[in-house]
Amino acid sequence: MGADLVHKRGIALVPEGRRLFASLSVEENLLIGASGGRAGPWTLDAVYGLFPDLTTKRRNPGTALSGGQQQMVAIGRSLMSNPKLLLCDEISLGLAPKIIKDIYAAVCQIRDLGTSIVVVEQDIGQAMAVADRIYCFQEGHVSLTGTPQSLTRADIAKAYFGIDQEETV
Amino acid sequence: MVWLNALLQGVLLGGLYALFAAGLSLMFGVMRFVNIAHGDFIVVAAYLLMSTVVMAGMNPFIGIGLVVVIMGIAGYLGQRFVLNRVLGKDILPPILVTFGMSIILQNALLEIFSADSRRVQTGWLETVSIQFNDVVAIGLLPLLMFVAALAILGVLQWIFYHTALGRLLRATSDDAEIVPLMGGNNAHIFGLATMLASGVVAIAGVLLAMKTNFDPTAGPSRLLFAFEAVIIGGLGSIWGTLAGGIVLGVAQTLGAQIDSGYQMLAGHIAFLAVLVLRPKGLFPRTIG
Repeated sequence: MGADLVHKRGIALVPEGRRLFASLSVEENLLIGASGGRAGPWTLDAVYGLFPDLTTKRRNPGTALSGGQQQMVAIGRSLMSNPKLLLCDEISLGLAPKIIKDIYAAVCQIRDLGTSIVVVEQDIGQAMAVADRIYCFQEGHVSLTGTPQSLTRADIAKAYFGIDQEETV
Repeated sequence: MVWLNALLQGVLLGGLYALFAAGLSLMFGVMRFVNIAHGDFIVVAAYLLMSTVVMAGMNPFIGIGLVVVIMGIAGYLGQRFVLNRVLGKDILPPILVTFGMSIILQNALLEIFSADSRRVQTGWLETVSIQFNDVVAIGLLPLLMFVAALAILGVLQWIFYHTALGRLLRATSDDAEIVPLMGGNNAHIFGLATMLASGVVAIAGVLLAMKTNFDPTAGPSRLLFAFEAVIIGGLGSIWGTLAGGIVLGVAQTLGAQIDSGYQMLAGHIAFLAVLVLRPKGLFPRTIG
């Protein structure tokens, strides 16, 4: 199935590294997200409501913003298709801790409005704080899964970095 | 005064060259692919005009409209069913395929229309001119053609910056991999880009047919002018392309003023000079 058809079925991706359209303004980037023509609660106004910082930047080129604002545009762009499932690849990569907090606050708001979200995250603390369910991957296999309440950081570190020295080859 | 006249004629000629270049630039910008058959498409449009207006005797405006529609539809279908199949990371296959198309088109035209040089006569339009003094004069036809070229470039600019299609084309030009993730269908977008480019090619062919003699082998030199105008102006800017066309046109007419044999040479020298002094062209795109 082509990526555009996957998108039309309601799965949107926030790509790693944001990959905004460099020659388009913030608003044009957001409008491209609506190309699939899915209706729903997410409109330009709703996205600006979620990320008020972008309102004054709507005419600026997407890539002239700070890293955090660019990430907001990338998330907003994907939301514009009103997805049932939003996939976020490394959304805190290279961002300042304060900005990461803002981004995750937005992620929680999006979830509360009824969109399922899968976040790929290296920051265990951040993931534990917001996730309903956590999966650890090691070399392509799920090495650990559970709710944040049922898992400890030690469990995750072990599943993430590999089991005891003796068992690894 | 003769130099001023040559300069004016060069500017007017530049409008036509900018139209030659616009279609090429558009396809390269959106799909990163160079259409070697671009000049032959222009000549095909010129023959289509001759077939509809001169041979079939249609009203010129209906004939021109028909040429634009035929070229546009053919462009969309050709892109979707032929060129999309060879687009990819490797830039060589599209070059080879369009090179093949160029040879096929030239021979098909030769077979159908013979090697005779043709021209679409425009009657009284050809002889009317605006006389400034005994040396400087602007022909009505070249002036109208320049205005038409400006209008077409203006429409292209408007489509690119003020419509949803233009937004999608610019996004595809920036990052074609991400557009499908936003719900765009690349095959369709590429088809639309070529349709738009072919519409411009159609108008360029119509103007070529009215301006000069053409024959089945006239394509490659139009491709060369188009390339030169694009490179002189700088890729990715419509008004840069117009500037590139005008620089090329002026260089050619000034060269011809020195000696008619220097017309082509002067154009090529101007092109090489820009390539050496400003490799990115006079007006390179600033973003991206």
